[in-house]
Amino acid sequence: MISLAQPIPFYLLLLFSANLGLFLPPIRFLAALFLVFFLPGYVLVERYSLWKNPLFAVVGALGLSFLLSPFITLPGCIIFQKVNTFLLIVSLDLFVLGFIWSSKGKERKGYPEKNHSPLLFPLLMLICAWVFVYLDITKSGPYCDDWTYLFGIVKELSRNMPPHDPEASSLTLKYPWFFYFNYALIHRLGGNSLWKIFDLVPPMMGFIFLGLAYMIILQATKSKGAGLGAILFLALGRESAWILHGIQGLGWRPFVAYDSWLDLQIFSGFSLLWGGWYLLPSMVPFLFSWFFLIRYHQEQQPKDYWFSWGTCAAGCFFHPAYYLGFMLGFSCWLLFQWARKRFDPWLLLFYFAFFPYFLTFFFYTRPLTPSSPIYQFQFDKKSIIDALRHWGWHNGLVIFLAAWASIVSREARFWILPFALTFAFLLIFGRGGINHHSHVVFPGIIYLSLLGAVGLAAFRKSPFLLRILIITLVLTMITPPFVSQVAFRLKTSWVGFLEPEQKAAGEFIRATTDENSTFVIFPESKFSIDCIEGLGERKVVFGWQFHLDRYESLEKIHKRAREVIGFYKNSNPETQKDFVRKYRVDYIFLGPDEVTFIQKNGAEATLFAKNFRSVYKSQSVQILKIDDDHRL
Amino acid sequence: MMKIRLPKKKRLWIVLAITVPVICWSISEILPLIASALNRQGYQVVRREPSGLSGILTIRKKEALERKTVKDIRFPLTRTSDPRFDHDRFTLKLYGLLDVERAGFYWVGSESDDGSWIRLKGDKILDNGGLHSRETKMNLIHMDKGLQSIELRYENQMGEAYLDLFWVTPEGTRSPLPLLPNPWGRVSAGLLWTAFLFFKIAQYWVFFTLPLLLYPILFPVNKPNSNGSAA
Repeated sequence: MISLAQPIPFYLLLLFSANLGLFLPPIRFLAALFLVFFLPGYVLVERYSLWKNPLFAVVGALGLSFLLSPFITLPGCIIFQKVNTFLLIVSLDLFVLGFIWSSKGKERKGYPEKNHSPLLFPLLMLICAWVFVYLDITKSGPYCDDWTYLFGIVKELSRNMPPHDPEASSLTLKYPWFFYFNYALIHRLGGNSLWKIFDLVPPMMGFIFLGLAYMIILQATKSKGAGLGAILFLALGRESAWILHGIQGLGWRPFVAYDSWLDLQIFSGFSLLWGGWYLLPSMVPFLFSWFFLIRYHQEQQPKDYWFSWGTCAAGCFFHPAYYLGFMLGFSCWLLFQWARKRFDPWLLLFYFAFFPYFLTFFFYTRPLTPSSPIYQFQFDKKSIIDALRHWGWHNGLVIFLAAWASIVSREARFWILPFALTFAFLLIFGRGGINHHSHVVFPGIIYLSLLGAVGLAAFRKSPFLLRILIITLVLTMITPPFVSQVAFRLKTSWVGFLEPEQKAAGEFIRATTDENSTFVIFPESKFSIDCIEGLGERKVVFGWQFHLDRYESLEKIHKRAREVIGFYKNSNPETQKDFVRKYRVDYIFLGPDEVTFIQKNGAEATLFAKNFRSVYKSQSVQILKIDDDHRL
Repeated sequence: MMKIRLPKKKRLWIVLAITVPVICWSISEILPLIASALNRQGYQVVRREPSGLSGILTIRKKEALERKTVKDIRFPLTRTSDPRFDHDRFTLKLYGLLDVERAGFYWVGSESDDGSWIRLKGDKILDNGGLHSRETKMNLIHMDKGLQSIELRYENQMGEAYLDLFWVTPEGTRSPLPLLPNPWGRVSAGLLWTAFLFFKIAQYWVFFTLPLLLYPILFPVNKPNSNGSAA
């Protein structure tokens, strides 16, 4: 008989069930999820008794698994230079078995604490279920071309180690790909299509993200109401510009782009759907770090310190730019501490949390500095006024609440204000050249929303009528933009943006070509990301430069682009053979861009194509196969 | 022998949590097999007693809807080619079979005025919908060898009516879609739809109940006592 009180048999049963499930097709995907996204974190949570609250322990187990699994499985993959099911299972099993062994002679302690709001669990389930159902119904996924590039990265990570860049097949992938490795693990172990995995990730990450936001607020302020307010702002949004425009007589339109900050509206609430696979995983390690830091400061337990430091160090692998942002907020907080003469020198170790990343991933891949600066200060009057206007108008409602929280709540002032102030400063006094919205605006929204939630909860002691009025006002302001965005996205799904030609060619590529095939396509062709890398799940010799230029020199990128252009320019079989051999090309893509280019150079596409075997032809796309005699 | 003692109060839920998805998933796997068998049966019937394509025509009149079965439908279909379709507003639903001789990628398309939609084995493969003049749309589909059930919906919302179906085989030849009548088509489509519904029930059931079921076992509120139940 297996007793729930004895950890070793119980954990062994869980591990055995997960392993067995991987061999039973109907539950293989669930078993993979359990093994990758739950068990590693769960044994850690149980071993170190990280939480006494069961719901927080669920959030912790899921989140820590997400952080740990890439680190557990990667050494084996690197040593054997491949990613396969056996290696992944053995790595994960060994990790869990190690913890099981360390539980020898111990008993499970249970989770006696119930200090969260009774609304929390139903609310989280409701939001996650909504995201899950939404993605299932619409089949739309996120809505940008970047997504398909990331799709290509996950596909590459699930088959090759070290991975190559899907946008430039012969170069090592230098994009921060650690959290994508999680999706690759599920893809490889679960056997499901990436589309299914990307459908599931947003609700799961939404659960971890919102749960963490609640835990941080509760740990810092002990206010359950503020925690629920934080979920409200982060899940629904805090868009205020539409109502300000309405008052000015410019029309009551909740989803209208008034300015270049259109994307910002996506981050209001929709981030759970849109960014569930990118923004949330980048942010989650630092939210963990922040949570453990608060608890360490309050309870002075060394394990909290090391978990805070460890999650921060792991976060560098997930996204270094988010580490920089977190450390800026942390520095501001540390400065406040120092001013209060409450300085803990151990906290300086956080500045070295990037060392593990630097000495391994960075040292191996050596990414170059992006050609555009990550962030630039802008101190001219016009830029500052513009940025201030944007920041004020989009966050208007939350800014008032945040200011109120800073006045009435000592804990909010102590813990959240330094982070919110840092990001407000960054937003107003400069801009990022690369992914400004993801790297600066999004974290800024989180810190400001948390502060605003504390302000909202502070009204709970006010008279009943005023309290109702405030809540009604908040809901009236933030609900219509969310509903509008959902309705808009339902009408214009990402898949709907794709042309039938792209879908058809992508389907052909995925179904009939070897998964390690390399395609040559004209530089900057719209077919490279969506059709070949996204739908087709294959690599290209050179595709789109606007990811590569963040880690590679422009000189190298332009040289590669010139070579590809030269390939299409030249119909000399010998020159073509040289190119094919050099980049191990398997297929040539002849789409509208390629045909136009060939014709502009005074040649005929048919003449170009006659050297190769045509395997696919539609109205404007032709795919040519390179046979072995072309390589010799 | 290892035995697991389930928490007493949870036993019913545990049994339900496991049996409901297993049953629903099994049904979702079995129904397409039955649909496929029906299609084969229908094919045999058509081979024995050849007949034309038939469909359900719904004519929308000002006062009411008039629904009737029309037989021997031929493509291209226009208001003038077949007086039964000489109406301003009507919809036509048709179930047929495709006998695919070679597995591969086929372009399947329609040219219609106004909207037309095609489903292959229950999956929508072509959406040429909307209020428009004669418009051609096609999609590349991978088809296995053998019988494939096809479901066509066509609607005329005003004025001229036109519908033609075609495919381009892997050899590159374009020809009219060789649709065969399917006497069991409606039942077969219904079975496929029901299979999809059962699959969704299983999927959602697992998504919602599994976390709720595992929660008290994995995270017991108090220290689990020695007889194995979470107090």
